[in-house]
Amino acid sequence: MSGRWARLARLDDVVPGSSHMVDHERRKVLIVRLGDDELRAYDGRCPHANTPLAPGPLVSGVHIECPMHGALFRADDGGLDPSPITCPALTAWPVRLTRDGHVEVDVPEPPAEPRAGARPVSWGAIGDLTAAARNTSS
Amino acid sequence: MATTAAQYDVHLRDGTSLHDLIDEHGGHVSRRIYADPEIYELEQERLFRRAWQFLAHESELKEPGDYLTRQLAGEPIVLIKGDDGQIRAFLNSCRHRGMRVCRADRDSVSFMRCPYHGWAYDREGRLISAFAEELYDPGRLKKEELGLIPITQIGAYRGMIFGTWDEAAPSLDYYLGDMRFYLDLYLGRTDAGAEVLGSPHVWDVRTNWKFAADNFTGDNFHLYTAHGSVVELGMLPPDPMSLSFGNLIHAQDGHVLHIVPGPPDPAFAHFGLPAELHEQVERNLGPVQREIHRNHAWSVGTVFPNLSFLQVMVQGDLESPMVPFLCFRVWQPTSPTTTRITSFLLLDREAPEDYRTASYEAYVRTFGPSGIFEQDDMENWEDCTRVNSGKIAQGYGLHHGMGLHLEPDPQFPGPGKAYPGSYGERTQLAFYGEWQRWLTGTEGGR
Repeated sequence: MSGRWARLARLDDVVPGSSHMVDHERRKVLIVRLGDDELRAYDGRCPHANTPLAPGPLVSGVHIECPMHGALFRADDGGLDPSPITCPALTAWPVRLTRDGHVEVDVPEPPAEPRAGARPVSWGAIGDLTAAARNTSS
Repeated sequence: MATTAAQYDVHLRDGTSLHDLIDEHGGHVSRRIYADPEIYELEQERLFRRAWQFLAHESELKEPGDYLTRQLAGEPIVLIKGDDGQIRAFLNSCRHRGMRVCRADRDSVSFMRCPYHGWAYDREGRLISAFAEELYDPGRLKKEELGLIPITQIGAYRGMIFGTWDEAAPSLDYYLGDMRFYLDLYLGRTDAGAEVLGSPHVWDVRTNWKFAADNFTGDNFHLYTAHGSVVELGMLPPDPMSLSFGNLIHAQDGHVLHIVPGPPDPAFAHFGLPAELHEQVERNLGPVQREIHRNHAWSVGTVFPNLSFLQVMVQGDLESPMVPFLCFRVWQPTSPTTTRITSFLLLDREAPEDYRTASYEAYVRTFGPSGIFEQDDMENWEDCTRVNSGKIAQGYGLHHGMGLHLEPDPQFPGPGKAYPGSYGERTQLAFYGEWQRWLTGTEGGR
């Protein structure tokens, strides 16, 4: 929790049973409205291929479906349900509704500017990789 | 996209004029039209990439996200129902490398997702995400310009969805013209209209598509020969002229059909539809249509070029009563000598349940890949295509001269030219004449 609360939408911008995407400081924030005033906020990029999720009605009323590879995330806790691919759960960020009907989300610091051709963080440290390679060959 | 007639070369490479392939008034058809690759290419360019063709029935797409994959002029297409309830049709091809984005015959999806690199389109065809978008130079990937390519025009009549690749094509209503009067008989007679039952039968045949369309222009006179086993089983009267009455009708611009009355028995009124529906039929049809519907039992026809229908009463077997069914089928050329057949069973939505079952059983026993009539027809159309591929055979034309001396009946109350009797080749020739006009750029000369 970064305490960087940002006012990102009005409650009326988010239709119940659907999601709404906001761009904020090089991040995408997916605001989900489950019921009248039951809200969730997630990192708006799929943890699998970093694809922005598509806002709109929840699939079957309960899922957020990644447009690219079809991952099905539960709208209420971000967890992955049986899907065509395997990936971690969505990252949830704290969300609150102000008395005057605004949606505020505690969004972490923006990520560093990506550098073209850099090694993706998913590879981890070189030491981990070489350890993994040794494990495979032994 | 459309080419005007003035630009058409009407000669084949060997100098033969397209005008010499069909003699509509003399009743003569060249065998080359059933097997020649050059004619096939001209047909694709001048007819199939321009004419309105049937794609699907609205009842096949029930919920948002439901899609169907079909073909239009040999190109893969997808029809999908949007979240707004509207049915749209697109070239089934990703804008990135051209892969098909929908690969099943039918499915229900949130996104049309390319299996190659993952580009994803929403239910209205808009590109939603491309892989690694952050690696594109800002402004390079204009997603708003990279939606799926819509079919140039789509339209619907009585729940039947048609499409054309030609932006200059006149409206679907104009194209169907007076054939709408006859389509209403089968598709507009009950309050809620017709629906497709299940999925269509699809099968590939080694025949030129025109043999199928030719047969469905209202050829009643092949029944006693091609389907002789049905007569021998006792399902048709032993008199070979028993189905020679009724009318052959050229509605307009190559759209043709026949209508044949049943025996004087109320069971054959209204094409044998269950009595519960008669009141609706009488109410929904116009006075002339009502009269025609009441007094006929069989009808077969073709909406030019390649959508045909059967509204017929048949026995599924000797113990079963005569039961009607309504079938629409599309003849899609896949090469000069092969055709993909897609056959749909339609039912009036409000028909009683036992009738629906009986109608389905009558259809599958007689038509579709397992049907006794269909198998007889395939054998003939495949052999016709094989033989007419021969260069020696092609030196001789085919005779289409039955009933050419007969004049249209001036008393017939419906639109079009209605020739007396249902044994005759006027409707075949009207179909071939229109085909020739499309290939020479003079089509639709109503």
